[in-house]
Amino acid sequence: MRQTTVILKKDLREALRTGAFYLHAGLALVIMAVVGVRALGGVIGGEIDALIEQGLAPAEVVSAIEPLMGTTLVMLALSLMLVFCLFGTAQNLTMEKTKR
Amino acid sequence: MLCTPLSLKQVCLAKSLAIFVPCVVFGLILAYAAVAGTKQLFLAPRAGQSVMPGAASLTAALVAVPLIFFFFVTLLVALQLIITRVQWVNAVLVGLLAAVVVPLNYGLLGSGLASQSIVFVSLAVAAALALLTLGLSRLVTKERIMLTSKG
Repeated sequence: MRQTTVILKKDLREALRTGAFYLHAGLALVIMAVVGVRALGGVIGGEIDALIEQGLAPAEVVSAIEPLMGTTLVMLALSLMLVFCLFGTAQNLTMEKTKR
Repeated sequence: MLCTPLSLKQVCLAKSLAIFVPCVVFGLILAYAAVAGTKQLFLAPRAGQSVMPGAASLTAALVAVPLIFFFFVTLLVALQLIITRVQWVNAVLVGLLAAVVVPLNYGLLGSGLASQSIVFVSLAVAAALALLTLGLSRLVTKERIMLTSKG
């Protein structure tokens, strides 16, 4: 297990030294901002406004919005992990295999 | 890499963890930051009180999604080791990213799924990926890695 962590640490150290990592972090921030404003702020915010117009109490609005928030959180986590996964696979293995 | 005093399984595990750890750490931090920030800026003032994702969604985000990613990354590492054109893997990843981000951006994914079902769906996906990874890991041999490498 200790030998496994040597490879893990080496790969992590190399990844953090590359410019591509910070480029992907920037891409993740763009996704975060766009999804945050558009999906969470726009779509869910619009849903809240519609429910309030229907005359629902704040507690009922919150319970109606919870599943939407939850699904968005899960999908957002999934997409952000995919961005870093894209970088990780490109960096760690593709590089090693093409260099050989 | 193959000359290290490690078994092929240990090398695959180390390579998978090197991708999985930053994925999960940065992915979860940024996702929670986005949800918390938008909640404070846009949603709480409109709803009149704090809106939090349900416990089931938090469990899915903290447990099921990282589990999906662990098996997904292990699968990708195994695939990259045994196929010649490794860039195909990244092309598939870009497609997957678009398939998740575009509907997410338009709020389509949030409309149909209940909190409970997202946990079950995530766990089912993780189980399917685990089975697929297990099947594919049998194909990963030193000979196959050497034969599919360039140079």
